[in-house]
This record gives sequence, C-alpha cells and structure tokens, in this order.
Amino acid sequence: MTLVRIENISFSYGKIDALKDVSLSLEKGNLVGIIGPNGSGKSTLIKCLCGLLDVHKGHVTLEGIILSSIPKRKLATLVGYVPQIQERATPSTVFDTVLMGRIPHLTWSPTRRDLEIVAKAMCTMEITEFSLRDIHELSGGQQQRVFIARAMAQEPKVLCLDEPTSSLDIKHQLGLMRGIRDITREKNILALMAVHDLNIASQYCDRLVILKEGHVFKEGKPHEVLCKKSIKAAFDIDVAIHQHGDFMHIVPVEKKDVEFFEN
Amino acid sequence: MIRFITAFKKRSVKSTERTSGSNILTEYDIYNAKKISFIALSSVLVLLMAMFALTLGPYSLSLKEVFLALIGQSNDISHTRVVWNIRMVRIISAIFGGVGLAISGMIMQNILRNPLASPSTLGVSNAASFGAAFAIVAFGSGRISSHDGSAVTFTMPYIIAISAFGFSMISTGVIILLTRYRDASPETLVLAGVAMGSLFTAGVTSLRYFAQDEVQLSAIIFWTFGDLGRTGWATAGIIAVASVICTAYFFLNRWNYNAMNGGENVARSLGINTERVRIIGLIVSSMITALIVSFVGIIGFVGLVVPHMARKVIGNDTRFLIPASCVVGALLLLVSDTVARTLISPIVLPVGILTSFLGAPMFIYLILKGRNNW
Repeated sequence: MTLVRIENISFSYGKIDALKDVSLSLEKGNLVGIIGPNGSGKSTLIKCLCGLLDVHKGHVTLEGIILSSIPKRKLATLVGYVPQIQERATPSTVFDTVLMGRIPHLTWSPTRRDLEIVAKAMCTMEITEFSLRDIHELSGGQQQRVFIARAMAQEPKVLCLDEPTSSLDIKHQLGLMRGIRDITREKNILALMAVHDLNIASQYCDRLVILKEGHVFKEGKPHEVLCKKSIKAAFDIDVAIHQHGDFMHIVPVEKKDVEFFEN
Repeated sequence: MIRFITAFKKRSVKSTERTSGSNILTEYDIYNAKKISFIALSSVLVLLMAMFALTLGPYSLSLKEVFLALIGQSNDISHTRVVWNIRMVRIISAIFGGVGLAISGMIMQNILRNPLASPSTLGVSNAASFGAAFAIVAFGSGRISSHDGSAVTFTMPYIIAISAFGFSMISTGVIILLTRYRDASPETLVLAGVAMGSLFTAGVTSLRYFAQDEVQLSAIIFWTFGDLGRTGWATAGIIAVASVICTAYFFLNRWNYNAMNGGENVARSLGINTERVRIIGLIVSSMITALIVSFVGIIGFVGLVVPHMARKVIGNDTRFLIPASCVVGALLLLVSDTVARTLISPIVLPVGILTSFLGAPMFIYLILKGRNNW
C-alpha cells in the first residue's frame, strides 16, 4: 500500500540543482535505502520528506495529503527524522533526549503514557542502562541509538534516517540495520534511509533507490538495482559481484583485476 | 551472611541494569523529584533570607519586631516605616530583579546555544548605559547632593529610565532587523549583538567626552553602578510584574526550548518554528533585562553566572531550569544586596560592584568544576 508518493519534485540550493524531477512511490512496511555518490541528493530528498526543506516544484503526498499543507507540528507526529551528523546538542540525559520525541504530541506535560512510550523505545534500542547518563558520555553508536529511539518515540508513520550507520563499527551497523528493518515490519511503517555501504544496503533494505545527480537513476528490489552496469554508471567504479546464497557481495576492483575475477 | 548479602546486592544491581520500562520510569521520577526538591528548598531559602535581610541595616530590628511590623501590629510606627517603606522595597526589587536578570540570561544561553550569552552579549546593557547617559547629558538630569551618602542623585529618574529602556529596545530592534537580511541563526544574532554592544560603548565614551561638567560626567558614571536603592514601590512593582509575566511566557514555551536543545534540525523536525521561538524569546528577554537595568543600573554577571549555577544542579531540562534559575537568581541578588548594604555600613555599596566581584571567581569555579553541563 502506497504511503508516500513523491511526484516530480525539484529542489535547488540557489543555482545548484539538488533534485531534478524525482518521482517515487513508497510503501508501508518497507525499508527503503537511498544510495548514490556524495552530492547526488540523498540528504536533500530526505529533508524534503521531513518538511525540513520545502520542494520547489512538484509535491510529496503522505496518505494522499500534500505534505506542505500539513502544519509542521502535526507533520512531526507523522514523520520522524534522524539527522546525519549530530549537531552540537546541549548536554542532556538519554531519557530526556528520547522524551523530546514526544514534544509534538504534548499539550502541557508528558503523561504516564508518553513516558511509557519513551521507555519502550529505549528498550527496543537497548539503551535503558544509560537512561540517566549524559548523551555526550556515550559512544557514537550508542548516541545514534538514542537518536533513533527519539524518532521512534514520535510514533511516526515514516522514519527518515540520514546515513545512520556512518559512524558505527560493523557489528553495530548490522545490529542497527536489523533493528530498523524489524521495526519497519513490526509497526508497518515506512523507513527511508540514506546509506553508503552497498552490501549492507542490499542485505537489509526491501527496496533501493539509486540517485545520480539529483535524478532517480534506478529503483527496485536490491538484486534488480545493483548490477555491475548500474554501479559503474552511478558511482563510476568497477565492481565484482559475488552471490553467497541469498546475499550479494559487492567488491570494488581496479580495472586490471576485473579479468582475474572473471576467469 | 555478609557475603551472601553482597552477592544478593550485586545480583539486584545487575538485574536493574537490564531494566525494562517500569524501572527506568521510577528512576526518572526520582531524578525529577530531586530537581523539584532543590527548587523548593531554594525558594524557602529566599524567604528566610528575605526575613533576615529585613532585620539588617543601620536601624537594627529583631526578627520579632520585623514580624510585628509586617503584620501591622507594631507599636512603633518607625518600625513599620523602616520595614515596609525602606527595606521591603529593596528586597522585592532584589528578588524580582534577580529573577528577571537570571531568566533572561538563561533563555539567551538556550536560544543562542552559547554558554557565554547574557544580557550584555546582545548589547542590551551597553545600549541602556548609552540611553541613560544620553538623558543625563540632554536633560541635565543629575545633580550633586550632599545630604546623603551617595554622590549623585538623579533629578529625573523616570526620564533616564525611559531613555535607557528605549535605547535597549532600539539595539534589539536593529539586531532583529539584521536577521531579516541574513538569517536568525545563533551566529548572526551573537555577532550582531557584539557589534551593537561596541557601538553603544563608543557612544557612552563620546558622551562622557562631551559632558558639560563634572556633575554630568559623574552622573553618567554613577548611573552604571547598579544600585537597588534607586527603586521605590512603583518601580519595584513594575519590575516584579514584568519578571513574573516574562517567566510565565518562558515557562509556557519550555518544550520549545527543550526541543531546541537537540539542535536546529532536530527541533525543526519536531515541528518547532525555531526562528520564531528564537526571535520572540530574544525580544522578551531583552525587554525584561532592559527594564531592570533602566531602573537600577547595570548589575553584572547575574544573567551569566546564575543559569550556569542552576544548570550544574538541575541540568538542561528547561521545565526545571526555568524555575531553578529564577530562584537562584533571586537568592544571589538578595544576598549580594544585603551584603552590599551592611558590609561597610552606613555606607551602602552599589550591588553591581559586588556581583561583578563575585561573578568572576564563581565563573572560574564553574569553568573548572561544572563544565559537563555545557
């Protein structure tokens, strides 16, 4: 079932076009990975979806309602955002940071139910043991889990993540991807994630979108989207693709090595 | 047996570490209850200090005499006069002046995301000094008096206050205008504030240079010594009402400020119109500072140090930080003023001098000990 429909949207920073005529339709219960080289418009697309940027042409609809017509506070109860590089946040405990996610739902003060939602999000992201520690005392991976818990406490229908795995070690990358995929299915929400690692993207995402210079270059299931040709076209690198059971394994190769792998 | 208990304790600690929802909620409730008790305790301290301050002064009164005078049962009319007309006015100004200065500093630090922000960062105090100096020079509103301890009295205190307030608002207005041409980011605001501050400092210096006589010159300088003795019931009332209204406004916006603690994009993704919250917060906090400074002169460091003291105990959750800053501000200014008027009695020191002296070592202490809260 289509939850978000992106119709012919364009966005530019001054004279630099970041998104050109992008159209996508995204379904509930899916983890959608956005891949593409630096500057291809991944973050811009995500920000347009969270209402952080207003599209210049076209429109985005969420359950049939045009995004720009939804008041920002209401939108914040529908779309959660996990930023790319955490800005210099003011020190705050983990619990208080996750509680921020309830702000769009609050009237005067958090109710017991709000606090329980916060506690549940913290349990899911396995950060309860740090509850009253300052976020700045945590490692990068732990912090990232706190910020995802905050977005989950918003109880959004769409979860937007901007390269959430970029500062994590391999174990935490896998754990995080698995966690997000499970939440997506369990809560039947849409997660949209900018991601750099093609192997991880192919392993966990239900669908992939390749962006190139602000266009949608290719879109579909991971094995449909990721092939030598499309990766060459999007990233300008040569790769070898190995199949390990259900998993694809994409290895970058130097030109002269290609023959060696193909032999 | 003891070993068994320690083993048991260890296990129970372990099991709380793997907590599920209900445990962290209890933990969180206790954490917040501690903050509330700090605020309550400090409030009681303010009341006790106020009672104590009523007894102090050149005309010594006992606690009982003060109490009788307060409830209007004193036989000695002079007791009632000293308590109500002299000391109470001063104490009310100290309490609410402290509240206003502390809360405006706290809000500026929060919305500008800058631990060094204070009323003087945005040039409010400098502009007020200029306004006062301008009124003194333009209207000749100062004269040397010989009948009391202070060197200068101001013949037209309201004109000086209005001029000081007006120029503070002009300074804030220019900063807000600048954000229309650029953006309302913390960086723009701080830079614009520093620029306005140095402009008005230059203005004060030139007014001093062009002052017609030593009366004007000393009046300009004397005005900048913040002194709570300048207030009467009317001004104390204005300061109290304005401080309470502004604090209430800030408290209503506490969740917006909390969201902004998460950073610009996070706050916006939580549905907060950050630029609006920032600009209105800036105007309100400039107004309350300007008002206080206009009536009593410059009282340094309260707006800068008090929020940090409160943060050290409370943390950055504005739900608790707002009331805590208010109470600590009230306490600090009340204690400082009481010390200032009794230290070398009968000479009354301007409290601004004292807070500036206190402020520097306190700030250094906070840098060394309390930086983890920013």
